[in-house]
Amino acid sequence: MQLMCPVSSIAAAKMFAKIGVGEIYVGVDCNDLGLNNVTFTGRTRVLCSGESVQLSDFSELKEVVDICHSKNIKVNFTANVRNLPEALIDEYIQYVEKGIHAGVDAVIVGSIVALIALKDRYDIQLHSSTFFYPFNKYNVDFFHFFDIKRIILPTALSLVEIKQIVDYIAEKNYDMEVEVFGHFGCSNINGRCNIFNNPPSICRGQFQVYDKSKNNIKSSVNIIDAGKDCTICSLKELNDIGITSLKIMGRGLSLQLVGTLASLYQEALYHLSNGMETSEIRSKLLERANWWENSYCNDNRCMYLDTETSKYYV
Amino acid sequence: MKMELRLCNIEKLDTWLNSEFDIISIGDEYCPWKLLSIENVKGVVEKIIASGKELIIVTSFVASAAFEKIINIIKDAKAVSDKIKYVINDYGLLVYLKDNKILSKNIIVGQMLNHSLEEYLWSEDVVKEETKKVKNNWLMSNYSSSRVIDFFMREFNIEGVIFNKLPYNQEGARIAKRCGCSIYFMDKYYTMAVARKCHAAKYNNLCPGHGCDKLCNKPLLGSLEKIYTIDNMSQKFVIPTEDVLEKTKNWIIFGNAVYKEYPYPLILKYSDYTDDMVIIMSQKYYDNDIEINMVVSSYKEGGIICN
Repeated sequence: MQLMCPVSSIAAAKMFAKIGVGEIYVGVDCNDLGLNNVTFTGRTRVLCSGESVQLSDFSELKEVVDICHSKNIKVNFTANVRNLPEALIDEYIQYVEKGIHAGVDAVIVGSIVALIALKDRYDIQLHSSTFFYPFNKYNVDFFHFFDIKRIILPTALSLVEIKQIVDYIAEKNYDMEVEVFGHFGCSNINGRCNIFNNPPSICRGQFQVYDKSKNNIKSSVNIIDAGKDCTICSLKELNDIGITSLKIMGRGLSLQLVGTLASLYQEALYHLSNGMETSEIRSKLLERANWWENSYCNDNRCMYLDTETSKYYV
Repeated sequence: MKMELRLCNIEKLDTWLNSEFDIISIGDEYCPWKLLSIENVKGVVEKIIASGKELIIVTSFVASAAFEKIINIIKDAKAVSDKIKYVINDYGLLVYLKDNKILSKNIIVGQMLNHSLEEYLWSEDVVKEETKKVKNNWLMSNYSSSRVIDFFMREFNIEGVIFNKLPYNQEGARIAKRCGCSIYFMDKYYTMAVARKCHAAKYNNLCPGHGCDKLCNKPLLGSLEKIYTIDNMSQKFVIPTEDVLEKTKNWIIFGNAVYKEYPYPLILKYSDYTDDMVIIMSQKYYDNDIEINMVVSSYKEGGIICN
């Protein structure tokens, strides 16, 4: 199982190369394709915070690819816009072709329009984004039809459900890898959320809740919060299940934060590969990052484990 | 035009079987337990079919615990009548039904699969600096595409798609209609966000699937007070800007989904569509039966529809 990290600058690529991650994901600004703030990358060009979340042009992408490939790091290209308009297919195809030309190893697709348009078009790995939210194993058959080589799972699954999906791929003998989120998860289903602002912000916010008659008012209720962030205590199980890639989410987050997370997870994976037990991996991490327990453990932000939140999964 | 009533409560089924509605639907697009919590679903199906009303069974995205049960409901219903239609909101379910020869027709694509950025809170801001071409297309839904509709008609024999009534969704519906699809419009509310966690169940401390069926018949309303931020490594809650507070007022929460009322009167011109267009009224969106009857009558009488 390899760690996959978000890159939105050359500095980020260099940082992750130094940390020794296995994969990165990266997109490119779409200004030269006639788009201004919107992009094909699954994010707008800048977030509400003003933070840029992709590279400025394809020459930067080429540089990132060279940096990564020199360290055997796989480059996943974000072409995972979740609603690709039919009228912009030509521009989207140009975007994907430029990415392939720059040498990326795989293209992440997030829209059903794009999936149909790219089927059998290029000799490159296609990955299906979590924007398709495959909650059961039979989704695998759907993506196999499109020759998808990697399926990216939603965060709101249990380890048992993840295993069912991985086992089904093996049972069907499909050539398909499975990627899961390793750190940071949204409250809502990715791809079916329209309240996203600066991550994670609104969904984890505190609400005043009331009924239609404005009775029974309760304040400061985190009613929509379902965010689960951490997989440190599930790394062994995810590895044993056969997960290929563990993704750190955070194209809009600070380099300091994602760099720290990448470094901590990379070390945890190193310990795991040397046979260290989960409790010891966690203890070592807490020694290095004393804020972790307060941020994640005390709030039960354990992504694939049974928690207060998963009790209420439909 | 036909009118569909999506029931959240089958206790009043007899009343609605004698109403102006052409179609009765049962289930929910985002939660499988709404369908699974109906006692004796087969009996309910038989009763609706016997009444002469059309029936639509609504399924959601389905995690493994509910998958087989949903399949069994579809099999049982199909045994009663081959005229029943099914809303599908999960590609895994769609492909399973085809591969196992359970369902090869009467399939309607739901709003979990057909969605758009038009529902996004900052959609207007996102596209305000775009060219006319991008502006006119970026907010279209993902089934507003002849490529997509043709694919799903050819591979899965879909016959309809559910849209909301927002302007770009209406444009998309025209495209789907031109491809030969039946069009369904959801009245009153559009979906903002769907989670796997049931907000209502957590609020009331009940587990989904265990006596939760009445919980989401009435909404909870929520208005944002503070947002959550990560400042370097520490987390905190802060009061958001006026813009954010304004956009996050009076959200409507049913079960695991958050909705908003359409922002202004939305007009559907009947002439743009055909006689088989369907307006879906979800029982739980309305305060009482009187309001439902008033709205359905106005739809039946009028040529222009507001909210």
